[in-house]
Amino acid sequence: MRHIHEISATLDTSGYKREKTPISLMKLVSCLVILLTCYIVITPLFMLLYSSVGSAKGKLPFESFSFSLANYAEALGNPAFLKIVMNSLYFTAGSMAIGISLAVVLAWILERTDMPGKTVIYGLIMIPMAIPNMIYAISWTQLMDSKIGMLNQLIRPLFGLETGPFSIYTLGGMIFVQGIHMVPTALLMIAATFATMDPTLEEQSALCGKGMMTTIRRISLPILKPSLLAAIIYFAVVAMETFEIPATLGLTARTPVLATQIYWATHPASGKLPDYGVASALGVILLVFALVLISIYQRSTRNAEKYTTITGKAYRPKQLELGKWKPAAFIFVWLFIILTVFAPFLTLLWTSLHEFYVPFSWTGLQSVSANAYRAVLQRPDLPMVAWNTVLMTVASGMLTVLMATLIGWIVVRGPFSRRTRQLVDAVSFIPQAVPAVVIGLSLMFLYIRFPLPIYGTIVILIIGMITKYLAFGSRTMISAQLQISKELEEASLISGASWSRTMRKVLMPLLTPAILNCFIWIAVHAMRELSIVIMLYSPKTLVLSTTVWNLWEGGWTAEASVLGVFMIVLLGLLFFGGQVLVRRLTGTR
Amino acid sequence: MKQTGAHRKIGVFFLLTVLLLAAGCGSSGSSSAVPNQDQATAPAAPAGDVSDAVQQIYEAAKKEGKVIYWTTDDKELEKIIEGFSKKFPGIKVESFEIQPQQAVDRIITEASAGQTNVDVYDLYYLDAPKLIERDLIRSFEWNEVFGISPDYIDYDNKALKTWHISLPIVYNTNLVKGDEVPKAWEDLLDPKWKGKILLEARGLAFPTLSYVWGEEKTLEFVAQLLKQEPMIVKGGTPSTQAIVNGQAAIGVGPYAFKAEQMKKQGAPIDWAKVGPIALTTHITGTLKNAPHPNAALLFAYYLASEEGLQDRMAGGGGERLDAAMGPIGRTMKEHGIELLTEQWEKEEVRQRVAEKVSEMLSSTN
Amino acid sequence: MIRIRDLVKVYPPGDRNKAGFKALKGISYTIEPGTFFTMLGPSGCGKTTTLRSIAGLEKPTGGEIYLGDRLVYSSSRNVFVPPEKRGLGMVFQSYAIWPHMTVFQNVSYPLENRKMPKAEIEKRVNKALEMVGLAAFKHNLAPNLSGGQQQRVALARALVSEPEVLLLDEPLSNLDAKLREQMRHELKSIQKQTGLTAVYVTHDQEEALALSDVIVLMLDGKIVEMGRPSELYQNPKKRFTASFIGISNFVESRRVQGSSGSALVENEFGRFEAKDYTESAVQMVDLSFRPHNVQLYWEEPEQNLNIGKGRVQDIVFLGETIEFYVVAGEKKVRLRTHPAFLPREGEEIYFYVDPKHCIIYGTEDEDHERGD
Repeated sequence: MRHIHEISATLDTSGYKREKTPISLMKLVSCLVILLTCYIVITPLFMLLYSSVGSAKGKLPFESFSFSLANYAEALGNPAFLKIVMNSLYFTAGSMAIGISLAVVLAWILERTDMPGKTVIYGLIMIPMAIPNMIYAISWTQLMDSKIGMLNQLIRPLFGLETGPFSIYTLGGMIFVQGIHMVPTALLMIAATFATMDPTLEEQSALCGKGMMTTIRRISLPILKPSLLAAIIYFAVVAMETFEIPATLGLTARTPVLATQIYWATHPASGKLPDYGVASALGVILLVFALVLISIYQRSTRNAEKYTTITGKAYRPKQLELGKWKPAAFIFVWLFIILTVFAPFLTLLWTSLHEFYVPFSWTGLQSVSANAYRAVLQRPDLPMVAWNTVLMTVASGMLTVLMATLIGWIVVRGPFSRRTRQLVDAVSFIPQAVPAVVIGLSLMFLYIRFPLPIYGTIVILIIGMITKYLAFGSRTMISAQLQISKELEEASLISGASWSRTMRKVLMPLLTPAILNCFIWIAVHAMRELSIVIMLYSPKTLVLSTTVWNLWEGGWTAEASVLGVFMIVLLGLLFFGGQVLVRRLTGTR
Repeated sequence: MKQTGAHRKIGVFFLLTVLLLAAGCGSSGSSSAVPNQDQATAPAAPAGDVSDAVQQIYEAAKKEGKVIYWTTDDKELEKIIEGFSKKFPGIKVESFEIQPQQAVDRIITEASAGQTNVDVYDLYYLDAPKLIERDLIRSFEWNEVFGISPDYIDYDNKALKTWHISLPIVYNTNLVKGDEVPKAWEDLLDPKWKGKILLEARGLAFPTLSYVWGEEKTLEFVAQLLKQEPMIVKGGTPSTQAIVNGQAAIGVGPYAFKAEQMKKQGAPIDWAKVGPIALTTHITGTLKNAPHPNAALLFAYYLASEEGLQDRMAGGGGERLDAAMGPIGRTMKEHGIELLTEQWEKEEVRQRVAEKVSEMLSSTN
Repeated sequence: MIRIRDLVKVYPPGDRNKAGFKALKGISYTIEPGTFFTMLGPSGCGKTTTLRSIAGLEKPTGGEIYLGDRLVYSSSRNVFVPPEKRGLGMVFQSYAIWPHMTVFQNVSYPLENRKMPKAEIEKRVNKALEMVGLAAFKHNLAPNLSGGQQQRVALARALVSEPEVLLLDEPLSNLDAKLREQMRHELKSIQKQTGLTAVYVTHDQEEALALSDVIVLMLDGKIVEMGRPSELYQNPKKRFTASFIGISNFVESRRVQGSSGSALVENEFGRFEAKDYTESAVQMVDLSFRPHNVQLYWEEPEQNLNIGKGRVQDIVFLGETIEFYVVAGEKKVRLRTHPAFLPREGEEIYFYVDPKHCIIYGTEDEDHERGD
């Protein structure tokens, strides 16, 4: 064997074959996506910070800048501030506990057992996402108002009670409704992980003689940790900043939360301009909270390899047989569906068939009329509204999902240091904590001055939707990406495939279920979104949510409900189609 | 196989979206962004002959061709537009439905970038100062040129008062019968209504009522009301629903006009003929840098004119209540009910009361 | 030919677990073409890191890597050829079969995108599948196969582009014992058949001995020893080699007479002449010999050099051999012999170890000090 030095000497004189390294497409796309993400996030973030310290009373944030911490003083100095924060925390913790545990149970039943009728169930269970929050909250009051609530009316005679037993205008009621409301989204985020878990890990546990409960607790749940944590963190922020349910139920319950404070600041009784300053100060507090959560999340999911479940070994988990649990599971699932899907939908349907609200009764049935349907269908602007809505939701969905998928890859596998990737992760999550009105204002302000014609077009609406939903998208896609073993990618590279080929032929197909679910979620929410759209829509870009809103504000409840009914039916079909597609793709039944 | 098939579909779908987007961009118009225009000067009020001046404005307006109107509810516009087109043919009315709060935000933000995208506004009385202090509203000799009564002009010729929404005590006729119906505001404090009262979340009505009751008494009254464990509901529509379906028996929040409408359709709701009743005034006018200034003047005038208001009522819209123009206004007059409209000279006190009431309603027990 | 020179890998800061951790501390070796070359060592020794550096899946901190006459990595000359351009085949520990594709699609993947006509691709894929015995499963969906079958798919995929070098990262560790042996045979015969260079990573010394032409033993990011299996087994020059490969006894002994090359030591069992592989003139050394390299006596034999005396303890019947301990004072050694020998618990016994089979090394502490 020749000595190494001799060998290298020979090569040096003859020159090694210097390979040309072209500009890596991977690096280019990654940097582009990161820049784009920063661009999308920085607008609302800047507006948030700027108005929290610079906004003067009686003026919009950009009208004058006078640095002061008065907004913070006002927000924090509110004597009830502590109570408000406590309310928020209880509300958040409680609703998360309910929502996520229900979601985990449902995900388990739907993905890992032989429960019948899964496609139907999946299609239905997602429908509440399509119901505008206000209507959703109101339908629950129809069910559980202590005087007239239908559930109460059913149960009262059994116990000989005068009122109740359920009263929805309490903190408990708020927590319950919000918790239930979270279930479809939580289900989406978690179910994908369940569907692709490595069953050998559980089989081992079974071989060791552990029962189903123990296996779930000690094997399955820990593996779900990243996607569970992602869901938890996402919902923690959502629950802190969501306001429709606390507003509808919390006012009577005299339980203000942080989000209602933000709402009141930005929707004062007439005479005052919205106080973006205080709203932003509160928003910053929320943002700090969100950032703390995300650093906890990053610390807990440090070792990505621990959580890979798609490794190219046995891909589909075995279905457990429910056996004697079947009837209980069946009742549980369908009861859930009846309460969360059929009840609100029927409430909506009922309202759409009466010009003014009539309580549910026989006489009520007789006064049914289709007038509202006629009125809506005869609207001259209906085609435009429909078209704009479809365009906006589909485009927002696709673009956000595309960005989220790339962000998912960058955060988990990107050619950057861990610090950088964690930063990208955190940045993509920030908009979740910025109040929607601040997002709307920042976009309005930026694009009205923009050299390109974006203001007043559908593009600004799409940008608004992407800004708002990027956080959800990135949570979902990062979790999905974590599940895919990096060796699947590496095997592709070693086989000679370029990075883009690897993305297209290996990663995208494996991520397809998550991508589809993500798209559907975003499309549904974009269709429903009001707070941002209402600040950015214009005569030529009327969409469904603004139309419903204007009808509702004008007291045209029947017609608003008709549009609601259309929306739900449409989205129900979309869910079904999506579910059928996803299940065919992953070969599950 | 199946995977690559779906994959291709997704790719095609995406491509389609991009194309649609491009199409959407093109068509949904850069027309909304209208650059700053030199304000067309309206002729000074000539001494004597009014209709001449109007004729001149009309000629200019015809050349402009259209007027952009931001309104809170465009369902009532049909009759108004009919009437307007008869009186001033050749001017197209483009309406855009938007609530006052968003409208104010937008007008200010757009103006900050030098843009004005609306000709005629439809806002609440108390929204005007925000625009006036930024010098965004045009003042015009409405009385001299168009003959509008000075009673209906406010803010130094900058706003025209059109119609009112009213905030009486409203009740469910199945739950409140005969002499249970309140005869005075104090009746609301009767312990038998505990847990059965409804209040709209922003405490509408009470700040204006303080004109007559004074600040202290108003706040005391609200405090007492809160002890009745009211149902607090955000928004006019849900307030009305809550009364109709019996969640609350009696309350403040729904408008008399909506109550009347529903009563006609058989709903168990009615309003108490108890004074004083607070009114919220809708105002209209035109912006200083309106893209179609002359058409704007004409349309704003029409909205505030007798004909325009009759058209509005005929189309199912609200009335100018303090003039007893329509059925509700007449009923109120018959019962000798004192009607309170907002006045900007008294705004400081009203604002204070409003803030305190808001605080009370949004606080914890 | 593969050449690695002074490969160093330090994990960058920001990786809280590992910042500053030196996974490789200067690895250099050359692999002749057609060799079955194994990197052997315990977990964390750096063998997988080295393999992945050759593959291009990891970027070292310093050093150079040549594949043939191509420089694929050099820190000083700032060269890094990405993995997709290195033209290697690789079998991963977890097989990394793509679950959404069939067996055929998995194996044909490396050949796509090369402008090869479909017929040619099909021919090559069939050939690779035949070689691993999976031709019948061509159109099965990959996840439906058993572990062993999936592993063969991985192998076929790695071979289909007929690379000159095949990298294997502990490919057999997930298989059961019988399957492992079978695959071992097949791997070796495929390698001989195709004449490719195999770079194999394992922690299983038995496997390494069975398969390799050359073994490089690694520990803590450094090479301990490199050589042919027989050499490393019969004449390990480092203490670690003796302990890691096969089983060895180590008895602390005192040097009685020193001369370079061979030495005389004394311990509780007796006095022994041994090969001297210590690197300094320390008094206390470790005497090492393998359990089966002994001759056993019930009565004291005539010579007294290289004879150990002690009591029998803990007899274990292993089927082909019998294993037991011999105790003298505080010290224990493990011995193995044919079961016919029938030792008895507590009995006194004598054993002879040929000086050829005795080696002395520095004691463990010394080894470690010198190690870093």
